[in-house]
Amino acid sequence: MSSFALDGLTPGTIARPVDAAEAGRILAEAHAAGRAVVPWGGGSHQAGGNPLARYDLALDLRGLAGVVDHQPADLTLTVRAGTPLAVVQAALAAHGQLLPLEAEDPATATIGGLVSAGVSGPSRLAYGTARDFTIWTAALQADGTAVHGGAKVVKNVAGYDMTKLYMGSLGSAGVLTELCFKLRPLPATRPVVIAGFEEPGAAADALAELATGRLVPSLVTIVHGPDAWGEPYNLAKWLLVIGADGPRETTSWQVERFFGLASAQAALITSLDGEEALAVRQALMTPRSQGEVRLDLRVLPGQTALLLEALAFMPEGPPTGVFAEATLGVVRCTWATASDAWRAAATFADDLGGRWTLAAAPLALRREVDVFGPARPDRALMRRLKATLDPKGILAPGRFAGG
Amino acid sequence: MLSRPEELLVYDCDAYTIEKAAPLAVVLPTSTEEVAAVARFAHQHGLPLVPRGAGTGLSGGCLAHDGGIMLALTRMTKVLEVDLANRRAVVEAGLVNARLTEAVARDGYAFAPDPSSQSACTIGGNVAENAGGPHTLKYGVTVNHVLALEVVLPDGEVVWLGDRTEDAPGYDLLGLMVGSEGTFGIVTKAVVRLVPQPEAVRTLLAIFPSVADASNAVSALIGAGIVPAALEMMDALILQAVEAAFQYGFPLDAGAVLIIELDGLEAGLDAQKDQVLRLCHEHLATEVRVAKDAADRARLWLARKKAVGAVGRLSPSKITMDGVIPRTRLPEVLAAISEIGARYGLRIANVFHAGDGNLHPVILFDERDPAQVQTVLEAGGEILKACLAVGGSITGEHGVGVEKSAFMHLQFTAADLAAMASLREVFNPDGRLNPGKLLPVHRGCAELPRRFKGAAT
Repeated sequence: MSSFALDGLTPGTIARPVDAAEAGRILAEAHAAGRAVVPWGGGSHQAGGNPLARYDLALDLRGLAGVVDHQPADLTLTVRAGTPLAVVQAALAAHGQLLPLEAEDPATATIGGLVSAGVSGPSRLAYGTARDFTIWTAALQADGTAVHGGAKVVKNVAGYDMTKLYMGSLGSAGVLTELCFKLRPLPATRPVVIAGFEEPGAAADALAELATGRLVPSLVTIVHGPDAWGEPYNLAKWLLVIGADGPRETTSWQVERFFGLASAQAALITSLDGEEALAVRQALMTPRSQGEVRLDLRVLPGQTALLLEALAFMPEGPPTGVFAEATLGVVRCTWATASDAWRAAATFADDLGGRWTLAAAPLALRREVDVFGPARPDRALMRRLKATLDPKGILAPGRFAGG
Repeated sequence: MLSRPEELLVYDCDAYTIEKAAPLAVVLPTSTEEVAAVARFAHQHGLPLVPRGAGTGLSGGCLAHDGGIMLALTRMTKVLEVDLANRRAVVEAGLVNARLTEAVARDGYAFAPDPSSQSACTIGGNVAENAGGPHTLKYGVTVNHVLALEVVLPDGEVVWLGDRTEDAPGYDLLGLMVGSEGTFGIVTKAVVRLVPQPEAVRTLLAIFPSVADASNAVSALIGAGIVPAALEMMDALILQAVEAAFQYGFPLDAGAVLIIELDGLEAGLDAQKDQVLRLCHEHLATEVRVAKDAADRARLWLARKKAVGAVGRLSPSKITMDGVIPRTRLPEVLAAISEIGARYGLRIANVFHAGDGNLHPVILFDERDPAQVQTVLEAGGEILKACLAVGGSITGEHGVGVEKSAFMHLQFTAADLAAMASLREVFNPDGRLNPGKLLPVHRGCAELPRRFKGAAT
């Protein structure tokens, strides 16, 4: 990565601490001088948030890397924030364990960055998101002071859950230096079923049954994308991908049921296992970061089919890419080139009583629109929170929902 | 509203009976508007305000404050909405946990957090403590099952945190509110997740010669990649008490038993059960019984959930402690607890969530004897320190309340505690909401609470 420029601003300084102590000193110095700081990991998720008000120092945390402690029998892992996800997954796989984080580019995306950007993938249906399995954090406050939240045990309610401050908050609450997670056993088998449709409404019945949860799918994703994205996007216009995680006897039973559900309306249907299935799961994370405009919509699960139909038949044509966690009501849209089509999509979500966030957009648009959507009454609390955490406003000022 | 002394007696403590205090008055609102009006009144007059659910808390979380108003949510018990298609429900904070699951059970759903007190505790209380119960290993805790909260802030403002949809934008205020022990706001409504009940269940009772053997079996099960729905341990003293109370058929000569519950799809469940049987026998189980049917399973869980109550019959008073350790350190910490009991001359029974290392030593004593109370507090302190020494936590689910605020500095640094105090100021700027809870009032030395006033006679 060559440039640390963001939002039309170029930082005067790039700092690369070798450990948390040095990072603390750098941050304390910047804080004293009132210099605005943006923490960096692999840089894959820096597009989110409202435009930075000021930006003087890029704090590159990739020097804070490595597994600190892995207790397989306790199902806990402590890791430095600048560690790439792929490094962690490889270390865990060797012990038959899994950290349920997913990234488009696991070799570059860091643990701290993924947690700070609130990145989640299709496996969240089975395992939840980072806020559900992050159990302890070490971070630096705006003034460089080291603080800790949570505990390195899988169950804990001592004190306020300070780990929640950093979940998806784009570096505005503090700089993560180390995290401890609750792990999962790596499932013995992880097959997927792929069903192809001409339009998303045809999958509505299958979705309704899958949403009840009785077949215990570990992943229910509807995607749409150009052929140029390769497999599986080139198999049909709209794809329903259903996954199962568990022992062979269980997942075979599930795969059979998934076939039964989807085959009635599907133009094509197939199942994959082993490495091929894993490749499909990874492909569902890519290429989300493409596109000049990316919009995340959230509606109730039962409204997903409706929303997808509206997106499929927009006058402007559907978004370039659609990635929907269909039984959770989470629908991500990307447009290759900027246009006003995103506004119509956002209005669909508003009309359904849902929420939306602009995950990426050209600077001019982000200067005009609050990317977090229309403010609700809790925004005042968020501003108070940010003012308390960072009174001088030096951590990614202007970027997150509290200013 | 209640204000006569004899009416207030019932509200002088929760299930942490060692400490008692009387509020100025107790108000029992029936709506969010009434809660907000009380909060505004307290705000205008600078009065402390203490929210309370069913009072089943075990850390003094709703201990009254002198000259303060207690706000009991127990009359706000409505299930406002059940949305099965979207697996959500909207409920009032005073709804009893078990009533919520009952409301959706016939349709095949449940509210996953099921603390042992679920037949009495309220959803609002569950939110305040981030309640767990025996099924958290697989299903998580309250914060994983709440999507939105309607909260009355100490100045009377009513605000919704979170959203009915996923990934509410902005800071995770909902995640901060859950587990804040009534010091950030008064929860009046909750949008909760519903989980489908599993297709099949297998419940096993594994009998071991000793607590150490049972602990080793726990590590082996987790190490084998099994995530049981529940994994509970009961020691010999607990077994004697529950057998006397419930006549389930527990073996009275066992050192410890494990209740192991597996759930999920029928396909593959028996193979998993066989794997568990094998692992238990490999780790010296003398016998493993499989619950025959739903009734048998229900009787077994009744005995487990009422175990602490049953043990309480063995002595005038008991205190149920709460601490968490890494699972792999169970044998050494259980041995330490046994040694502490012997050294202080106290009977300590252990019933707990072995799967996530969440210990519940139950110390038996007589609270009418101040010397015994002091001994119990000291022994309890040593137990907590033993948990911290192996990298654990002072509380897994009961919360800090007043019981453990003096121990917070042993688990967290001064900077950590200062950050928590700052955070509290965001929600509770003048500290009037549930004062004296969670954060230490006097920082510095490890002073044991000396606020005991003696039991009412």
